[in-house]
Amino acid sequence: MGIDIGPEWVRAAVVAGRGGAARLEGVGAAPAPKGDGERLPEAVRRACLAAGVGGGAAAACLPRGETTSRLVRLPAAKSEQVEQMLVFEAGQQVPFPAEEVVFGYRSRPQEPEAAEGEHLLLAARQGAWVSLRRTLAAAGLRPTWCAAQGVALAGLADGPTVVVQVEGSWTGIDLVQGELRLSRTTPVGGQHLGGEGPEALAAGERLAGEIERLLLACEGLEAAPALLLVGPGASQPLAHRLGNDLGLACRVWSSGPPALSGVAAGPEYALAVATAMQAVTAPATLNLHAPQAAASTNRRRGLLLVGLVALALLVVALSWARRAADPGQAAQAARLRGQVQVMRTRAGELAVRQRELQGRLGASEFAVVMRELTTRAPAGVWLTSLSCGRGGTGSARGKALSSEKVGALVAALGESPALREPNLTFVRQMKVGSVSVVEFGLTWQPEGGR
Amino acid sequence: MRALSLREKVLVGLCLVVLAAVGMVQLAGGSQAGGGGDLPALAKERARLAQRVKSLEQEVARLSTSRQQAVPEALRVMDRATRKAGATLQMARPLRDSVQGDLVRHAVEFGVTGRFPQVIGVLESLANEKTTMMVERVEISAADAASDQVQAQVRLAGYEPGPQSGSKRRAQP
Repeated sequence: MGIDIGPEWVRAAVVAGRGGAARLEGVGAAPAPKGDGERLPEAVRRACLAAGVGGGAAAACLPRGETTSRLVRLPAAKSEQVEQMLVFEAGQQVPFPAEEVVFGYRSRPQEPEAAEGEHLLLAARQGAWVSLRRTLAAAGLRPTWCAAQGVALAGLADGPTVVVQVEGSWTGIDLVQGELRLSRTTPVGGQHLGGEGPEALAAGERLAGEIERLLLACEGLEAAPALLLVGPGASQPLAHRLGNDLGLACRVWSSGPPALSGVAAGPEYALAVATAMQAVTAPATLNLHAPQAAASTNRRRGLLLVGLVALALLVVALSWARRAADPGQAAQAARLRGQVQVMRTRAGELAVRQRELQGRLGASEFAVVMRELTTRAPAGVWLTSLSCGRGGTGSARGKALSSEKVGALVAALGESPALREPNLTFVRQMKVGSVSVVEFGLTWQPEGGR
Repeated sequence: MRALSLREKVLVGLCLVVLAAVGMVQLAGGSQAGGGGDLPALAKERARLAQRVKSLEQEVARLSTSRQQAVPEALRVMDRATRKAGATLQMARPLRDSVQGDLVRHAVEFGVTGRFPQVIGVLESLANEKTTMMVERVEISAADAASDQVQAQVRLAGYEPGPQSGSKRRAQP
């Protein structure tokens, strides 16, 4: 099924066949809803029903303004490499972002050793392509082939041909020689060309001029091309006028090419028939599609970016939630930390004071030391004074009948467990009355003292 | 994969800036205020420290002798010891307070007479007293050569933390 969605009518043509042969089974049309895209699938469905088919595989063409074609020269390469290079070229040659491009191409035959190859590149904005496929799907059809109108109409030509598609307000001109070579669109349509008045004649001359310029722009034509008029504005009088103006054979399409048989259809069905025929006989020719590698790359990159943004948003949200839920707890924690710090300092100070006080208030051994001094003193020794401070050196003075008694005292104190390091500080002879005695002084260290 | 477009670079850059900013804020906030997750641990630590401070305060109070307590306490224990040993308490003289380290010393000097064993008994009684006034110095001299009568000077001292010790310690870095 070929679908031609025009501004006023939706036309459908049913072509059956396989390989190079095709048969036109039927045609049908339904009025197009003007300015109401939501009702377009319904119009498509009614046109299909008028053609005698309710659903199935369908092909359609994008409007002429939505597609662009270029002849691209590339270094000789394998077909998969050629496609990658053409993806890049499509991004370079179309006036919209590369990731929004759908494209199709056909490589021209080349010599096996040729350094370069020529490729006809067809590209379109992905949005228009997706919209057309959705319209077909909504009408209950299965989109299979989608290309440019000029590409489809080229299938009607037999030999060098200028296909003139006369629509209501514009005319598309496609120069075909084996394949589509050049395309042009002019704002002269059937509504300007109808009748025999001077305005119609002037419009016809403008159209002829456009065709002539197209022919001049094309190099390497094998022979004088024929003119083939198609579309709802195509008529025999117009064909005569253009043929006379340009000096070329001109006819209105009603059937053909030879590979197409079946029912007859008017020139207004030419695009629908040509589209269906292309889908049947050459389904891979310039079929627009999204670059697979780029699409998957874009999908991965999109997922990566979405994940990154989601992660950032999640982190921000968690941070915000934590701060929103925490102010009371955070303040309480800060207060507790301050209290703990103060208490640690206070406990440290108190511990130091406790140790100092305990050191000052330890049990005293004065009585033990004094008792040791007196009990260990041998007979004949009198202690006259004792002095002892806490932790300090103790001292004693006394008198003895002889130096030996003093030595015996020091020796006895040396064995005492209550004191240590007994030392004589002085010994001197003196008389008390008529008795000769020895006066002495001694010191000691308390046991455990400094 | 081809290079990122300007729009994608801006988006990635913004995401990284947001992540870095939030991370830094979290790190700064975490080191200063922190979350409320350690509240129970902090409360437990505060309770433990409060108990420790209370215990230390009680211990320091038990070991301390204030200026008002020092003289009565010294008289009490010395009177009790001399009575018990049979010695004679002849004199009591409070000494000037002095600062020793972080502590303030309150001391009282006593004059005691008696036989040498009685004086030793006084020292033994003082050693066995449950008091914060401790014997700091003893000087004994014979009263006459013909007997064991002696004169003794006994100095008792008690201590309390100085009023400036805590603030001085806190002022240290």
